Amino acid sequence: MIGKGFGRRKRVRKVFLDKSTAHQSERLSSSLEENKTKLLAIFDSCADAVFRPFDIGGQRHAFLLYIDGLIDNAQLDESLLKPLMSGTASEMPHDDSELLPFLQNRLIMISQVKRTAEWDRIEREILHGSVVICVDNQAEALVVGLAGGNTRSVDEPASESTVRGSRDSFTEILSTNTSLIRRRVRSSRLKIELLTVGEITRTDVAIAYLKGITNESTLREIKSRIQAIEIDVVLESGYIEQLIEEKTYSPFPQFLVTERPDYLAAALLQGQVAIFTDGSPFAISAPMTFWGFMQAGEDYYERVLYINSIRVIRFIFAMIALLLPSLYVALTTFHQQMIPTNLLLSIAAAREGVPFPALVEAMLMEVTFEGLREAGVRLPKQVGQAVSIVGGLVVGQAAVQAGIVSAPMVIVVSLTGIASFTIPRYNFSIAFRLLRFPLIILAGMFGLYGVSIGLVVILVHLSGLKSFGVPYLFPVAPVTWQGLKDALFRAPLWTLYLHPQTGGKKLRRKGSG
Amino acid sequence: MEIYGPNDRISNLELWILMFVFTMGSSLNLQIGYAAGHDSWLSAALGTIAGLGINWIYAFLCQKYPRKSLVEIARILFGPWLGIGVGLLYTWYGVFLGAYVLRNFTDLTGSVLLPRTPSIIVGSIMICVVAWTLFKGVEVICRCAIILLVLTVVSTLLIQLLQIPDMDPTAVLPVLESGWMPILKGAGQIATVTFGETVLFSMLIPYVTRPAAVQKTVLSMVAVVGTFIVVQVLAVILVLGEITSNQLFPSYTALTYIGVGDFIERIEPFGFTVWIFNEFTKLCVCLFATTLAFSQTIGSRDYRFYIIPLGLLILVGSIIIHPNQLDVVAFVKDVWPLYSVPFLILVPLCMLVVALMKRKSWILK
Repeated sequence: MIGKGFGRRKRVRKVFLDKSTAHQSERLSSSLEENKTKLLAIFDSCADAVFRPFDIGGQRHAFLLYIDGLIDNAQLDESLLKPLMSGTASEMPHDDSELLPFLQNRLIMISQVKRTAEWDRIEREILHGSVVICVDNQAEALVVGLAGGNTRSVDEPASESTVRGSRDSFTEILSTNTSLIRRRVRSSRLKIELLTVGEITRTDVAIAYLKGITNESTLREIKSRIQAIEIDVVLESGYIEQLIEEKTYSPFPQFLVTERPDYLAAALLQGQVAIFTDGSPFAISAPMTFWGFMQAGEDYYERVLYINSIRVIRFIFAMIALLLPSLYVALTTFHQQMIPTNLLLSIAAAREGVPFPALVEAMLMEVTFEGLREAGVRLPKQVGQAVSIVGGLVVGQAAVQAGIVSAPMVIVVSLTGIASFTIPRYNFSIAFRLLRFPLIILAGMFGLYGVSIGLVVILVHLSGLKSFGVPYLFPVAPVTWQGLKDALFRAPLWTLYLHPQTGGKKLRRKGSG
Repeated sequence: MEIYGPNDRISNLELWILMFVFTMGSSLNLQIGYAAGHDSWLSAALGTIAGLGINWIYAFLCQKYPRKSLVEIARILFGPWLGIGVGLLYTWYGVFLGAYVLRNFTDLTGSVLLPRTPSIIVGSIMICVVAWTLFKGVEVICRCAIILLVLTVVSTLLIQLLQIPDMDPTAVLPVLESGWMPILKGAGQIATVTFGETVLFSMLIPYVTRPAAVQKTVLSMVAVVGTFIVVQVLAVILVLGEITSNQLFPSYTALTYIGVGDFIERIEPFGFTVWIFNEFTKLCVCLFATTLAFSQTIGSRDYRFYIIPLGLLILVGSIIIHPNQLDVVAFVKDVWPLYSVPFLILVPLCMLVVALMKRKSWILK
């Protein structure tokens, strides 16, 4: 499953794909009866498939089939069935070859109408929310796009809240999501290409990019990797992400995952390629860099001084999230001389009754914290309070009073926990949470030396990591001066003539520049 | 799809940064250049000037023979057999230097951070990480160096700033108290140890994107690092005064003097941490240059085969070269400057002379 280098094909074993789908390459026959048998056989035991025979203009036999709930029923009745069934017989052409164009041009009052003769296409269209009409003596069927039904409306983003910035978020419907982007980038340069992934789920996957800004080879690579995917099931954008990412075993994510259209629009304008997956409110985009993950979209909405101070805070807390427990273990176990005397005395007093070494204590508390967090994520809202009471009171206070853990350790762990939330991208903060544990173990074994070695290993890994050809630490390592204007700190907006570009062409951010 | 070019090209700036971190790494360890007591800053200044000369030789050669390492140039100039001899010479130098760097590192780690951990554990962990890094290629080393550059510069400046309260400006007086000889001795140490080790970069220079500017890159690096070192030596002298020359690790000892507001005190393990990163870079370059020299000597295409054997050689070498730390210090101070002269000056100078005699060959190119 895991190949090396570019252009590999990631295969996922096919589990239950039925290979006896012989009808797929077949074409319609001109006999209505035959077509009906065939179509009913395809949708055999599909209780949601609605089959409806009728006569066009009182003379021609016909039937239609659609999937209940995928289409707009009111429109079906009003704009399709009504004109067809009440159509006058006198106007009807007698020639069979003119019948379908006549229906298409005169009777059906719906914008999306296609003709097709292939069964697999018909099947696909029905499953995507189209109505298929077969008419007597016709070897072609009419496919009427009536997609509708109940879907979630555009809502406030649930997992990415912001003080300043737009309040809409992506939904499960692909066309809604692409339209949210289109509303922000009203340019025909914004290209959206459709692909289908998943042999059973046949999920629509849209690739969006800005022509002329996105690096062509990045785009080609992403497209070819998506096309190379062989998988039965795609239920979330995470499937695509995992199947086309560069390093499967890196703790660091290589894709931006967002449900906010404004963040994604910003990513597109930086030359990234976005990938929407039908059924998922999370769009992904690449190539991403380390510094990109440390930025929030708000960074460009607020004023420059405030944002730069916030970025400093963010980096400090990211370091705390990564290092604080291991530094605590290293200092209390190996290098007590570094702790100021008074602090050392109070730590020693607090640790006096604790039966575990600092390493075990830290691991115990960190694992407990991660457990509480995991419990909190999946809990129904009604029981959430119970967990926070148990977590806060029992783990915090009672454990200290009972002498199982020391109070400084509780402070360290809670500070670490809070700190990991300051990392703007959730998938990026996971890396910090993961790497904390090996660092604690290294600190327990080799003190500060172990922590430094751990940091060196992380640094080397980051230096070697690439996201679609863009080095992960770009633009700091390798250095570009233009890029440095928006890495750790952000220069005022008017100095950012060019977008912080990850490999593509430059676009002027300011008109007069 | 490679937006940023092939994996084995580094920009001149990256080479500069790598050399900077490499050279700054040796400034914290050992008592190099402190032979003249409170006049040692003069040694640093003179040593830097001599270092410019030493570095000019190989930089000049590498610029005249673009995309060729020192070993390959030697083969062109001296023919295959002598070329192999030169290659082996530099392989030996790289292993020896790597062993010394590792030995210094494990010694200082043992005495500062981990007194009860056997030094072979400390050393082998380091070598493992270094070998793993080298498998990822030269670009990765350079990118690490960029991040470490920030760390090195910030910590160096911060340490000097925090030392200001402990400085006594009269400590440098009287100038030239003990005459020129000790100063020259110290200058020799700076020139051959701090700036001489950079001869290994002649193996890395072929990776540079603009070989025509290599001389500028190398010499400006020496000048900037030289300034840093003069400032650092001066700071150490101002803090420690006359006892500077008696310390095993003068700059480390000066670090222990830092105490600000009764809270920021005893921060030497943090200073030491930064030094670990520098030593990591140094060892990376040593092992990398060694494997390159060796693979080019025997005409092998992929240097990666030799990372592990030569890395183990460095690890073993670091343990067996000397019985104890004082022996190491004595050797590095008194023998090493003379010992390294053939590698730093003699061989490159011979090559330079031969190259000038064969002048036509590179003018035609």
